[in-house]
Amino acid sequence: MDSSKQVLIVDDSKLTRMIISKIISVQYSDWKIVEAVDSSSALIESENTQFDFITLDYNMPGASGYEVYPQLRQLQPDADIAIFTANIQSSVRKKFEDLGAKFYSKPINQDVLINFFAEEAH
Amino acid sequence: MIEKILTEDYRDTFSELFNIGMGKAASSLSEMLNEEVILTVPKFQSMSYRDAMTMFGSEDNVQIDAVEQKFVGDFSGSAYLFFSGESSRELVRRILQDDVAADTLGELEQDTLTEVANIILNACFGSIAEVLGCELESEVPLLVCGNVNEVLSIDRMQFGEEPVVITLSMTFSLPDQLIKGQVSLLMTTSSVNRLVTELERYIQLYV
Repeated sequence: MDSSKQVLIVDDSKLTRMIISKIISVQYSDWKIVEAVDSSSALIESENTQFDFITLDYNMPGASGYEVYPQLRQLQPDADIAIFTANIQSSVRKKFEDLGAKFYSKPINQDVLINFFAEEAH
Repeated sequence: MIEKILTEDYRDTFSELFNIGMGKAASSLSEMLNEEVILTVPKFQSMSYRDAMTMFGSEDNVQIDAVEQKFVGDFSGSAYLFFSGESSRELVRRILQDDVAADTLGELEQDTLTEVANIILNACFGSIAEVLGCELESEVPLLVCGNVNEVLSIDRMQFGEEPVVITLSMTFSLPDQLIKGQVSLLMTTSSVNRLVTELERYIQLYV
């Protein structure tokens, strides 16, 4: 994976955005990272840029990750989207998996995040 | 005052850890009820004990059911699971699949409610301790029913000083809205300082 990628991090937690951002910048120093604090910011960013990867939180102020997912998918048909959430109920997981999204639990795990990028890049 | 200790970055970090903890708690509750539990976004507020009492409606004399559980270790505090309105009785009804009197909770019902709260609070704070990599032991949960002055009685809690109230609140509810609860945390200023030390260590490690 030596080509530069663009990643959108959507999470209302600054901590989570910083952790994901740090992992990416250490592992893939040439990747471009854009952060969005909520769903509406994510949609604005997605109208302007085509991303390779999107990490999406579920519980956020305003529209949830589940509510914004279909619009994000429409705007970003080629992006690989993964849900990173603390809400690990099986019913929530199933809702996202029915939409075709990858589902991962918080806290952010470096190996899980890197595997997501690596798997989807093949 | 407390804002100077718990700066915005620490508040954000603790809120996110609380969010992770409540996610685990909701998963446990969802398994018990076989229904999805809807969680709100965590809302962080810190205030003096007196302001908190006003906010909780100490002058309204509203009767509430809450389960209190003390946590001691690298930092300490008292966690509360508050049930609103008839939520405690409805929760017990669903778990026991039996009728529960509207006005009182019997021994079995009290035990059930306390155990559910024990599972929720331990899932939440156990997860926070695990992520922070610190030691946190939970004491026996206690069901407290009464008005807010009785539930949040400083004398009973034996803090030794007037606590700071951190209401790191997340409301959980079921799709039909019949069960609603909220988790809050009371800590002393010295314990908040110890919490900040743990948060700083975590931030230095991962951010």
